[in-house]
Amino acid sequence: MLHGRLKKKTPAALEAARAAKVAARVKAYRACVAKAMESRQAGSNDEAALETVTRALEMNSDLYSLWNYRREMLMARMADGRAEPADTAAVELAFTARCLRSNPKSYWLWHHRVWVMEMDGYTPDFAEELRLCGLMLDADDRNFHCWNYRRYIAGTAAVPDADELDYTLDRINANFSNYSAWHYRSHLLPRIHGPDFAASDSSFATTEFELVQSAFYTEPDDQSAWLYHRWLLGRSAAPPRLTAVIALPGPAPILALVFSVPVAGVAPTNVTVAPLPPTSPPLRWRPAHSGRLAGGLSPVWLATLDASPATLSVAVNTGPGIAAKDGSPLIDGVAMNAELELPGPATVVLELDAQLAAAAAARSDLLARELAACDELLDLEPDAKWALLTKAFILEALDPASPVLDTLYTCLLDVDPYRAGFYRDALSRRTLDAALADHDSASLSFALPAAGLVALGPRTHALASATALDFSGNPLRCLAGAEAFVSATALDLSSCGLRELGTHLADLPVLASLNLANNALHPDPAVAFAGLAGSPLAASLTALDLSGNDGYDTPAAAVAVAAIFPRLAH
Amino acid sequence: MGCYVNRNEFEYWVTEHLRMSGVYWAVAGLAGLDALDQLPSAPLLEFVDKCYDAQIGGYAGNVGHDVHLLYTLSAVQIAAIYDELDRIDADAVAAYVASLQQADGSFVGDKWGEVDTRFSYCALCTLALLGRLDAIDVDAAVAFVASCRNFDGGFGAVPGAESHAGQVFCCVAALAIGGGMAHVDQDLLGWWLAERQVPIGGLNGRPEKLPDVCYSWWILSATSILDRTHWMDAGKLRDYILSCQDWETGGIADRPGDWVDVFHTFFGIAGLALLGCGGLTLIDPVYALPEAVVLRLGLPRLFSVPPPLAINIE
Repeated sequence: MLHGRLKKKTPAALEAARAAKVAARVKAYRACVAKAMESRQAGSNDEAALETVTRALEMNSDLYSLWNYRREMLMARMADGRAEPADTAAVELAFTARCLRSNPKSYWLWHHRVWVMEMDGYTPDFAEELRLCGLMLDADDRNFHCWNYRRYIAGTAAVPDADELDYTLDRINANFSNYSAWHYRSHLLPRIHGPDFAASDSSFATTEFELVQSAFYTEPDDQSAWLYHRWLLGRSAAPPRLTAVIALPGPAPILALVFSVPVAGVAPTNVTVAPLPPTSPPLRWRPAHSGRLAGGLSPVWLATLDASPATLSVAVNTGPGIAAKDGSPLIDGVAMNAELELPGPATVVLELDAQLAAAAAARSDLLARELAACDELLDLEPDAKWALLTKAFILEALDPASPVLDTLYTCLLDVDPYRAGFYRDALSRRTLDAALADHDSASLSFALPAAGLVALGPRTHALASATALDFSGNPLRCLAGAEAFVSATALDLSSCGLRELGTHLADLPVLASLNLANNALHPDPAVAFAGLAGSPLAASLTALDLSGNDGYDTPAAAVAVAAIFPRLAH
Repeated sequence: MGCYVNRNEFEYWVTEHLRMSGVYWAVAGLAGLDALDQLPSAPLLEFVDKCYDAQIGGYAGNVGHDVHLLYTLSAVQIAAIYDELDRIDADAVAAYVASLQQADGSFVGDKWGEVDTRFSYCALCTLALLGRLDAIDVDAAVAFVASCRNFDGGFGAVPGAESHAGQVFCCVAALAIGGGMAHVDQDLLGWWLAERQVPIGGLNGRPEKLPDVCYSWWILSATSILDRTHWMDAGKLRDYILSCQDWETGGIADRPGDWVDVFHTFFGIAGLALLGCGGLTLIDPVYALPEAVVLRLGLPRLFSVPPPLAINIE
């Protein structure tokens, strides 16, 4: 692996001399390594063998097998009394320190030093190790090997976190751009002050915000402080809650639970459904989102009933069990039960108690203060990317409906074009969120055609009870999120530029009519509809519009499509 | 692909301890160019066999060197590319890998005790390729990797260690294999990775560092698994990788004008394919093997690639 070695042409006249010099170096190196390897084969453990290994490792500290041999020799010497641990350690520490000067990023080299620290019978001088780390970080304050070693020493020597925090401050004061030091603070501060320290109005929280602000006022284009600042602001979302319960008709009725955010842990132990015949097996709850990125979390959970009583009562228990990705459990003190009339379709929507909306007031103050700091910077530099972006992150939490967000993301598209895809996703998400905010949850249809959506976004579960959905004319990148359309019987995805369907629609239980007209579907149905044969979608779909897709107007294509979706009417 | 450092140069010899990985990078790079027939396979497979230590059940970085998990994965990957996994004693290798798992779920690289999430990836990938994930405690392995997650959504070598794009690849791929995607904050990490793109178009591995072609592979692998590649400028990154190609040797360097090597050449080729450049064989970013090899082994496809860019690499 060659890093940062400029390819220089040696003038022809000098090339012979250069080559000769290299050849001599190669010859000496190879002879030394070969000799060390031979010594090992022969089981030697004399001074000559150790000396050869020393020379070889000085020339190349990555020869891990020779470090292994060296340790074998040293262990044998200490075991038979030829060497004392203290003397051995002194030699090894001096030797590794020498090697580190020429190769400060060798994993094997740093590990050898760790091995010395853990030698039987040796009492390390941890202060000396911290001093060495300091010198190494003076030379390169981002050397993560050295930072890792420092943390190892600090942990082993039980150095107080507060001392290490002071050390990171020294490093940051020397260089605001020291992301390694900011990173270390992100581990130390919660250990010292608790996980929610930044949201408190304590003096250390204020000081920390002042520190990071002075960093980004000094270097407004440097990522380090801004990334740390984003973490300080926190990402605490409202705790998850149940937002709707849906019953879907069918030969076997399906019950759907809709949560405010993706959750895991929905099971018969925390969801009570009654009345069910005493002979019924416990309900099997399955996540609507089960793709590779879902990780077992879903905002919508489904269970198939094998009985259909006239009314059903569903109660979801709070407490441990159901939890969001960050581990936060369902919000307490909110009604989480519903009465449904069967057979469906039937939906019970659970509104959020007003009193709960005021819960995050302390964090709002913090966010408002930091928003003002961004605005101050933007007054001076209206195109400062990180100030624009941070302002957007803050507003997303503080006032997600604010139209300023659209202005910010549009501005960022110009200021930071490399990440245009990120900002376009954000604008698309906002378009859908705005439409969802206006959507009457009692309405069974939702239409947002030709709105420039590039993705369906993370909050599609707000449409879990809609039966007719129209997203036609949106340049959708993929259909992630469509898993939540569990009540949909008709879905219009015409003119969306889709090349393949993916499996996001595969488990929709009642979808009968799908419009895929005028897309760019792969001409081979086996590719365009990969993974859908035998799916619940294949069992429910009775109408599929494929007009305007190249290659789909032939009888052969019709046969291939019908093989995947057997209920299609011809 | 005339891309390895010349045998007359010192650099060739100081990398001899990792020759097994060098062979893997070369063979995987050739596979990415659909040119595997450019090297005879028999001597390479013979070399792999010679590096095997039957008493331990692992592979060394070169003949005469010691067994290590890093090179055990490379050996298994080489055998997988050539459809020669029968040469591997799967029981013995699985037992060796399992012997390296610690109580906290982490893996040491060999008996000398270094812990690193790189080794978690090596262990999970090796065993997945051999169909022997049952040999280890996968949940514990996932939990350890998750414990290395940082404030920025990235991952480090050990708990508390700074996020680094190479480490992010190891951890995200390990979590993908181990079924632990719930431990990844996909939006936060995907954005942090997109912020690795610097004005010249290339990617750095940590904030405020220089770009390097090897991060193209590591970051694109992770964003392909997270489905967030479209948050970067693919065209600019493609141009950067191509600007690192050396027209005399054909190889790819870390940065424009530097010496080339087989490591950066493979990562450049694999990165271009993940960007959707046509004319290249896609390297599966989870197992770091050609797509067809992963399919042949019956392993799941755990990533997605963006629509093709309007350029073919001929």
